[in-house]
Amino acid sequence: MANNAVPKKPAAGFFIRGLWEESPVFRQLIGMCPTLAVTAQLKPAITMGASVIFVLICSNVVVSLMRKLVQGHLRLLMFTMTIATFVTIADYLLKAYLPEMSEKLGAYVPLIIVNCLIIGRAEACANRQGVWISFWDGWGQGIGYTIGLAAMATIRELLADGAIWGHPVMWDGFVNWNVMKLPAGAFLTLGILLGLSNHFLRKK
Amino acid sequence: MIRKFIQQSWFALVAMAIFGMSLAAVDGQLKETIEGNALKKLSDQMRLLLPEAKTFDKKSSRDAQGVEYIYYAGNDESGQVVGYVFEARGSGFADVIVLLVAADASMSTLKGLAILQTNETPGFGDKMKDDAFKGQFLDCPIGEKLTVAKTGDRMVKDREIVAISGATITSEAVVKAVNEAIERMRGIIGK
Repeated sequence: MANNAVPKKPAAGFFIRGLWEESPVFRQLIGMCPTLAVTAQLKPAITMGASVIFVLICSNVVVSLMRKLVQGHLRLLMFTMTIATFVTIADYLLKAYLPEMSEKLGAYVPLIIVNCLIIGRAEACANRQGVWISFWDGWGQGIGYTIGLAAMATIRELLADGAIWGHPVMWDGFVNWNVMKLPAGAFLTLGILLGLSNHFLRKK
Repeated sequence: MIRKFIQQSWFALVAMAIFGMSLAAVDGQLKETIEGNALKKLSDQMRLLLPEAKTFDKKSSRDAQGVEYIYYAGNDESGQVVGYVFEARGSGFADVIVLLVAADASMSTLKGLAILQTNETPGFGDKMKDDAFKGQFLDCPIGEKLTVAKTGDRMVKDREIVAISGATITSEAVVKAVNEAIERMRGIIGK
């Protein structure tokens, strides 16, 4: 995966790549379920991003630690088990300290278990690299993912509620675009953002 | 055979035990906070619905089929029952709707509605959270069943509930759930 490897500081390379070059939302197009489902407002989107960062870092580190003990044909079982453990912990933490957000995210927090971003990083990075690199890869990919969610949510919340982070920012008399709250709005926003990022940043 | 099995799986078994134990530890640490959150939400809602009540007694009753039904009696300082709070649930358009209904002690007037859980379409059924719809249930007489009307004046306190436009199924589901809950509650109080 590391074509343009930076040999001196590989961890930094993995971190930077996750932010944009291999951005989960705009480049790899993985983890689409929460991207479409929880981005109607910025607050739940950021909460989801934070939960994903937590689970991704923890699972990357643990998978990397046990990569030499796991047998090849059992690895998916072990990955899923690790991820499920940390997702359950994240779910409990949200329920205990952010009950309102936990209610809003509903089933999407337990669904992080099947988020292909996390199992993808376990397979592509943590299972082959050391703990240090996996740790920074988790940060990079997690933050990249959160940026993707936040970009979607900012546009959708602005148009659907005329607000950002719950604070109204649009002028008086702005008519809310109700469609942006609905699934259709999620697909529209994602399509337009993908089209724009491909148009302007296509590799020549 | 057994030797091969152990060789293949010892690490998975050990990891499972460690993960299981760490989850048990997290559960032990956070269980009280989570339960406390749910209780706090419930009591906050009840206080909003029945501001004149100072304490709430949790009571339960079983119907003929043996299904347990929990309700709360609100008491004022002197211990007089000033009203009841009980749960109503029904299936809405997208997901189950769970409501908290408050009525006065004689079960003749509603004291309002609070929404515990809903997942209706944003911009349509979701408007059941707005006071324009929810407020219709405040001080509304419940001698007879509530009905849903397509048009009407929401400010008039009668047993006609004006539906949310574009969300007939949600409106009907809410009214049906409230009616059923009142009926059941009557049965319990009448005993």
